[in-house]
Amino acid sequence: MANPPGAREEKQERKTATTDPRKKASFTVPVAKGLINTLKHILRREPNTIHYPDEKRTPYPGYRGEHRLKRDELGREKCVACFLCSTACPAHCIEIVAEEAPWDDREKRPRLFNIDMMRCIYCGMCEEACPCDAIELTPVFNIPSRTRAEKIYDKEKLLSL
Amino acid sequence: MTDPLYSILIAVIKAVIIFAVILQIVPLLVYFERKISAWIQDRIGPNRVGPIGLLQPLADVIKLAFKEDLTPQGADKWIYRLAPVLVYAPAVLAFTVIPVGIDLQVASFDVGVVFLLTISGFSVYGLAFGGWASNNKYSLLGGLRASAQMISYEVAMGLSIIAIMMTAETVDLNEIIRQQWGSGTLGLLEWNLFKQPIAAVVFIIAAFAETNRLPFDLAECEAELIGGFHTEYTGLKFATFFMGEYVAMITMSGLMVTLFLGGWSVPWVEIPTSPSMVDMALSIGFFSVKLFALLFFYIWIRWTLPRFRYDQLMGIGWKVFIPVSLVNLGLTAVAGVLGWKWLIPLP
Amino acid sequence: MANNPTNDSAVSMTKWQLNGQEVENHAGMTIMEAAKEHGIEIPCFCYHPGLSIAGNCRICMVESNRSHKPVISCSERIAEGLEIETDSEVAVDARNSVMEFQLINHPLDCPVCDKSGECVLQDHSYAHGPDRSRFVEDKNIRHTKELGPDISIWGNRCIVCTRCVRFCDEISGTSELCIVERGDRSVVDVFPEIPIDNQLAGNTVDICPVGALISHDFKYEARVWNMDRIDSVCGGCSRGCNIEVETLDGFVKRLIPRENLDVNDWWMCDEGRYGWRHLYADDRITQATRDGAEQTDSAATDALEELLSESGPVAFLIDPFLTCEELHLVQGLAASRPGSKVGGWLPADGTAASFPSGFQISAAKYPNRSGAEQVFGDQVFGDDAKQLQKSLLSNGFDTVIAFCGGHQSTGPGDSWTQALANTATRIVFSVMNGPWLEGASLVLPATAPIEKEGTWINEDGRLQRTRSCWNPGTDPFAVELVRLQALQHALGLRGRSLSAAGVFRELAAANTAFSGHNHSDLGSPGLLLSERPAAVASDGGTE
Repeated sequence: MANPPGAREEKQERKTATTDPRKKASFTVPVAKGLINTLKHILRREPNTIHYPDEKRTPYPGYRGEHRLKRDELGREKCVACFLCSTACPAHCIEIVAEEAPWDDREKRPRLFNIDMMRCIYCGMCEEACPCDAIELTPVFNIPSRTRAEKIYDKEKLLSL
Repeated sequence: MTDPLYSILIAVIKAVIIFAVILQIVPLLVYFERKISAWIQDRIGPNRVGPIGLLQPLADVIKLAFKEDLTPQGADKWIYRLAPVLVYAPAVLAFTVIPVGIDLQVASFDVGVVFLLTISGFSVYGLAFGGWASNNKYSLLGGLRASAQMISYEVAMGLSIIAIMMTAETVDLNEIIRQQWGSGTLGLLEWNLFKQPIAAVVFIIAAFAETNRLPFDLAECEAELIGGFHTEYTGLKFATFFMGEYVAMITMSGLMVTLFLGGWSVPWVEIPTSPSMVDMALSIGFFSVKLFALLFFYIWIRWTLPRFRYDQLMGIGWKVFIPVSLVNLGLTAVAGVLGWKWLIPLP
Repeated sequence: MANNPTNDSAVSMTKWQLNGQEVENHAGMTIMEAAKEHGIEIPCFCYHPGLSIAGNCRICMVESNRSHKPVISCSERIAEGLEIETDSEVAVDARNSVMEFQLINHPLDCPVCDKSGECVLQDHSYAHGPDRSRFVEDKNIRHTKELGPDISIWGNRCIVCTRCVRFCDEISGTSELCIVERGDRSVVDVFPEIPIDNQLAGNTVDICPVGALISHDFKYEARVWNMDRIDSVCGGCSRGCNIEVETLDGFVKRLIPRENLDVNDWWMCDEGRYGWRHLYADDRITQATRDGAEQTDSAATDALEELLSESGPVAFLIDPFLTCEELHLVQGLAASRPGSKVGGWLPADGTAASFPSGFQISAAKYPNRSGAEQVFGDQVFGDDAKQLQKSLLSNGFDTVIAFCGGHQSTGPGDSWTQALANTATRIVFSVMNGPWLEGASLVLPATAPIEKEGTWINEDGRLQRTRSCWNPGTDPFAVELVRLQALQHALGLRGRSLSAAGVFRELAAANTAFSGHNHSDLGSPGLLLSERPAAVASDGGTE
C-alpha cells in the first residue's frame, strides 16, 4: 500500500520531465549517450549483413522465388491449361493458350505458357490456385537478365527449371 | 634567398602540394565516412572496388563524371554554373593560411584568422546562388536556410575566435600555435582547448553549422528538401558541391586544430630554435593526426545524431551560443586583467 | 404492394403465400415463374422457359402445404391458398440432397471444362452443394464422343436434364438427340449414322446447364470469365437475332444468343453463330490504300476529302449492311452534291428456313435493307439501282463511292464490278479483298456487321440497336461512322463529329420514319418502327 502513491509521483515526475520545455532544450546527455552507443558499434564491428554475391543466404522454407512448371512421372507437363493460375494472379502476369492434349488421360495442355517475371509480384497465388500441383515457386531469388525479353519465361524455360 | 622569383616559386610549389594533398584527402574522407557509417550501422561498407574498397571514391568520381550534365529549364545559367565554384573555391582558399607544419603555410599572413573568416564567409554565396539559380522551390528553400544558418553561426564563431585572440594577444596563427606549445608533462594543458573551453565548444558546434554537416544540414535536408540547394545539380557540378563541402570540413578542422588543439606543435619537447627536417615531419604528422581525429569526430557525430529542427537550430544559435560567447568574452577579459592563464583556474 | 405492376384485370389473379407473405400472380403460372416475379430465384437445371417442362432434375423442390412431400416448383402451379416455403428446412434439405446426388457421378473436372464459369451445376454447387462427397465407390464412366460436326458430348458431365433432347424435339423439330441407357448410365446420344447437324444445333450447347455438350468451335478457346460481352445484333440475315459477342483481349471468341421474345426467343442459327471467322481472315482489308500505296488512317481521310472536293456529282453505291446512321451520313453527302445518285446492291439470296417453334431464318442474308429503304426510298435497291448502274456504264459519273461491306466475300457482283470499273475515280469501302477493288483509286477498310455501332431495321420493321465489338486489328477511328463524319466536317457540312446516338438524333429529326425514336428508348428488345414511344404518341405524332 505504500507503493502506489510513490509510484504515481514518480510517473508524474517523469511526465513533467518529458514535457518541460526547459529540459527539452538540453541535448548534452542524450548526445553523449548516443556518441557512446555509436562508438561501441564502431569498436565491436559485428556486421549483420553478408557479402552477398560471395556468400549466399539459404532462403527460409516457403520462400517464393522464380517459378517453374513441374513434370509428371512420364516427363509430361502436369499443367492442364485450366487458367486458374492466371485467374488468381493479381498482377495478370500469366498468359496461357490452351490446346488439345495428345494424351488419353487429360484433355487440355498449354500450347503457350508465359510468365512475365517483371510483372510478377511473387505472391504465390498461382501455386495456391493450381489444382494439379503443376506450378511452383522455387526458392531461387537471384534471376537477373540483360534484356526484358529474357524476363518473359515461356513454357520450355519454365519446364526446364 | 631574397630573390623574389625564388619566393614565388616556393609559394607555387607549396600551393600545388597543399592543393593536391587536400584533393587527395577528400576521397579518403569519403571512404572513411562510408566505412565508419557502415560500422556504426553494423554493415560492412564498401569493399568491392580495390583492396578493402579503397578505390570506391574513384569509382564514384568516374560515375559522376559520366553522368548527364543537366541544367534545369528556367535556370539562371551563369549563376547556376558559378554556384559550385563559389562553394569550392573559398574552402580551398581558406586552407592556404592554415599552417600545417612549423611555420609552413601557403600564404603567411599576420592577419590569418581574419582572412580565414572572411574567405570562408564567401561560401554562403555559393549555396544561396545554387538554390536561387536552380529554379526549384526546394533548392531555393535550401539556399535560404543555408544563408540564414551560416550568418547566425558566424557570429558565435567569430566571438569565440575573438576570445582566443584576446588570450593570445595576436592574430598570427603560427604565433597562436607557439603559445600552445607545452614542453612539460602537462604540456597538453597549454592548448586553448583547456585555456578557453567554452570558446572551444562554441566553435566546434558553430563549425558544424558552418559546414552544413549533420546535425545542422538543414540546407540539404534530404527528407524535406530533397537535397536542398543541390537538388538540381548532377554530374561534376554536383561533385564540385560535394567536394567543396568536404574541403570546408577539412579547413574547419584545420582551423580548429590550429586554434584549440595546438596546431603543428609537438607536445612534451622543447621548441626547436632552428627546426630540422625531422622536426618538420613530426610537426606535420602531429597536425595530421589531430586533423584526422577531428574529421573522425565530424563523421562520428553525423552518424549518431538526427537532424535538428530549424527553430531549434536558430534557437541554439541566437539564444544559447551568442550569449554564452559574450559571457565568455567577459570572463576572458576579467581573467586577462587578473593574469590567469586558464579561464578555469588549473594548477 | 408485391403485385405485378403489369397485371391486367381481365386476367384472373391468384392469391397465394410465398415464404409467409401474401402474394398475387396470374392464374396458371408455375411456382417457379411466379416466385421469380417476386424476386425469389428457385434453382433449376432442366427447366428452361423456351422448352416444355420435364421436371426431372428435382433441384427446384419447395415445401408446400398441399403435399406432405416437397413439390417441384417448375411444374407445380400456383393456386388459391397455396403456401410455399422456398427456404424452409425441408426445402433446403431437399435441394442439398439433390445436389449431392447430382455430384455423385459428376467428374468435377471444372478446371478443364469449357463450361466452367457459366455452369449452372457449378453455381448451384456453390450455393447448395456439399463441400465433399460421401460417395466412396467408383464414379460412372460414360461416353465422350462427337455427336455432330460441331458438337461433342462429355457423357460423364451429363446430368440428364434433357434440355438438349427437348430442344431438338420442340424447337428445331429435328429430334436427333435421345437419352440412351438407364439409371445412372443414361446419357445423351444420337442415333447411329445420324449426327446432330441441324441449323440450330449450336443452341443445345448454350442451354446445356453443365459442360456435357461442347462446341468444337469454342473448345479450349477461352475461359468464360475472362471474356468481355457486348450486346449486339446478328447481321447474318434480315431477322436480326439478338446476340452477345464474347471477346477475349478484343478478339471475338464466340457469339451466343440473347433473349428477345419478339425476334429470336433464346436462339440463333449456326450460320450466324459461326459466321465471324472472316473478321480475322487473311483477305480482310485492314489498311487504307490509295492507288495501291498504303495510307495511314488520317492520310486516307485527307485523300477522301481531296478526291471529293475535286469532283462533280458523285454516284453512291450502298450496301444493305450499313447502319441507319451511316446511311444518314451518306445521304447528307449525296444531298450536298446536286446531281448525285444513290443506288444499292444486294447479295444473292440464301435459303430461308422456319422451325416448329416459330424461329425463322431469312433468305435475305443482310441486316438492313429496310433501313436503307427508309432512308433513300423504296426503290434504292430497285429502279434507282438499275438507273445508277446504267449511268455508270455510260460514263455518267466520274466519281463513285461504293460500300462493299458485309461478312461475305462475294462482293457486289460482276455487273456492279464492271459498272464500277467504268468510273475514273473509285472510292471503295470494303471488308474483304476481291475483284471489285481492282484499280480502285482509294480503298478504305470497312467494318464488318458485328463491328458496327448503330441501328438496323429487320424485315419486320423492328429497329434494333447493335453495339460494336472492339477489334484490336482495326483503328476505332477508321470506322465509317467516324470517317464519313470527318469527311462531312472537311467539306463544311458538319460542325463536329457525334456518336452513333448523336447521328441517330439527326436522322430522327430529318426523317419522319424515325422521328420520335432515339437510342436509349430502343432498349434491348428494340422497337417496331411503326410503334412510337409513348411520349411522342401523346404529342399527336409528327407525321
